[in-house]
Order: sequence, then structure tokens, then C-alpha cells
Amino acid sequence: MERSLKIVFCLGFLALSSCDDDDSNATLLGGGPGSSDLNNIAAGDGFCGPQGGSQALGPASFNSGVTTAKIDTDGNPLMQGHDATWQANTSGHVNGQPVNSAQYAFVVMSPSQMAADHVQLGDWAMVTNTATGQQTYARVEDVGPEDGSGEISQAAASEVGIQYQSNSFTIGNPSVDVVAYGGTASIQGDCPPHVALQ
Amino acid sequence: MKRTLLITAAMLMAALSQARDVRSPDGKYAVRAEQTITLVDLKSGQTLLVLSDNTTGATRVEIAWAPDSRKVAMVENYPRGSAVFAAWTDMQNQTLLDQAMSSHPNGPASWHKTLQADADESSIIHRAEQQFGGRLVSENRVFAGWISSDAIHVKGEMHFSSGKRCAYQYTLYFVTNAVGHLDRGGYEEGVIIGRDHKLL
Repeated sequence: MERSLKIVFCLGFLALSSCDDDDSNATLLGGGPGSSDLNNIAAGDGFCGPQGGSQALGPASFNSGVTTAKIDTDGNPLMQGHDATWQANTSGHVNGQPVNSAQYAFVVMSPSQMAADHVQLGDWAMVTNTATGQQTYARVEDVGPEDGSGEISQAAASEVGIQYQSNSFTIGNPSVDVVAYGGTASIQGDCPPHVALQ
Repeated sequence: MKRTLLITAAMLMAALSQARDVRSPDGKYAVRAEQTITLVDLKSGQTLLVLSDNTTGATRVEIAWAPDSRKVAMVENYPRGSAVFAAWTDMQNQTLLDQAMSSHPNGPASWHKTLQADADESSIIHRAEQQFGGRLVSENRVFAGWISSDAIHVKGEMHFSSGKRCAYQYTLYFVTNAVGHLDRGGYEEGVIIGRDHKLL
């Protein structure tokens, strides 16, 4: 006898529109010299880095190895209608809201990767542009498909100098190395306090 | 006989605030769905293992007990991805001497947990990406019935950056005599293996 229980927490997987992969209509958006996009963030926005730096994080529990960079624009309302795979929500949240890809440096992991390496949403991560060596701290804030790696937010891409188009396709074939630090979600960011205006 | 219970919750927190037990066919064990997914011994009330320690963001969790009550499979679905977990007990393989020498001869059976590694699906994903174009953007999976006490059908759908979708299926086999690799999450990887993948 087979008994099964299906628990549906929320019905309805998001319907995804067809993809417009006409690059000629794409607008350059992110990162790198000469980029003028408003979505780019300045250092200090978003999650910043972990208090205590890399020593506070300890050894990495997940390492993607060198892999092709992919851009996750989820959570950035401005990307609706541009990125065919865009979703309003992200698995992780900041202050109860989806994590805006343009504002926060975050990375995407598959549920299996997270379980196997004891990584949870909110844990710290590090993204390295393997061509330039540019690095940025990020957090794990979205869950992606199996066998996926190297998927990073717009903010993370910009901070390591990776350029992408309005449809989220990267310019060229950039590679990144993503590492994640399990059990570090509680470590606060080191963003400087806002200066009160007189 | 197949018994399927579908519980729909309008709000995630409402669903998570109450425990949902999915009992094994023999009634001895249950998978308890709360904020975490645990395997419990119903007689003693003891938690035998934590199958998944965080379901934050999950949209759907499906649990399927094997007919012999010695294996249970679980698929967790998120908006863009899914993972297959499982647990099994090797109690039946214990000899009477083993049981007599055990410090808890009447205690709960020894259970192990495992997960299906992403690498298991790499080949079918790459094949589908070539056929349908673009990269895999999202996927989800459901169980489609046990075909034996050691194998369960799995069906899924993949969605690619080209905008195309495809359905696929495979059979998940329990190879409980395999020497699994213990990962950081405490899962003995290599015990459940997907085979006979087909694009539909």
C-alpha cells in the first residue's frame, strides 16, 4: 500500500512568459567601465560585508568551482518585461520583502546544494570574477534549479565587473567562482551607519 | 491501494504552524512536516532524524512511503528548483544476534538519510538544454508511484531561458548497500540514484 501526502504550501507555480532573446533589442545594463545604468549600486549598499570579515565566516562549505556566470534579476521590479525568466519574488527576504537583485549582492543555490553543504538562505557567500579577480561578498538569497551554479544577482555582477543586457544575458562568457559559508546568516553586515543630516 | 491526501494552505505560515504527519503503511513511523521535516517513531515519540532542516521558501513538499515502510522519499519544490530527499532503515538486515547485542534491542530502528545529488541529473539537463535551447531556469518534480519497494517513478518539468519547457521522467532507485559519501548536511549521498531518464 502506498501512502503519500502532498502538502501544497502555496499553489501555482509562477507562469513564465516566453523569452525574447533578440539581442539586438537588448540594452546594456550592468557593471564594468562605462556603464551608466541606474540599477548599478555603489559599494556600501545592500548587504556590505560580514562583520569581522572573512575570519568571521570560517571555511567555505560550498564551492561552485569555475562556472559560467548567470544573472538572476528576480526581486528587481524594473526587470519585469525585460527578463523572460524574471520573478517578482525571491526565496529569501529582507525586511519581509523580496531581495532586489539590483540592490543586493546575492547568489543562487539549488536546494540539494544547500542541504548537502548545510547552507541556508541568508548565509554569506563570496563571488569571484575568475578573469579579473574582482570579489564581492554576497548572501544566499534565492533557490534555483538543480545542477545550477554561478547564478548571481545584478548587484553582485556589477560589483565584480560583469556586464549584462536587459534580458539578463551576460556580455561575453564571464566565469565566476561562488563559495558559500554555512551557518553564517546571523553575522551582521558591516555597513557604515547613516550619517544624520544636520 | 494508493492513498493521497492533498492539503492546501492559503498561507505559508498557517501551513507551517501545524504539524502534518504522514504515517508509514505499518503505522510505526511518520514524516512530520513543520518548519523542519522530521522522521518520528510514533510509539516513542522520538525524532529519528531531520530530513530537511529548513523549508523556508518551499512551495510544495511531497512525501511518499514505500510499501514496506522501510523507505520514504520526499521532494521539496521551490519556485525555481526542487530536491529529492529520502530515508531508509536497515533494521531488517540485522541478525538476531545483532539485536540481542544491541543496547536498545527494543529501541527504534536505525534510520539513515540521503539526497539525490545534482550531478545525478546533469546529463539529462545538458541534453535538454541542447534540444530546447538556453539554460535551465527552473524545474520541479513530483512522484509518480512506487514500482517496487526499492524504486519510485519521478516526473518533472524543466523551463529554459529560450522560453521552452519540457517534461521528463526517471526512476529513482534505492541502493542501500552502496557505500554512501557523508556530506556536510549529514546525508549519505549515493544511496538514491536516478536512472532511465527520458525527455517526454
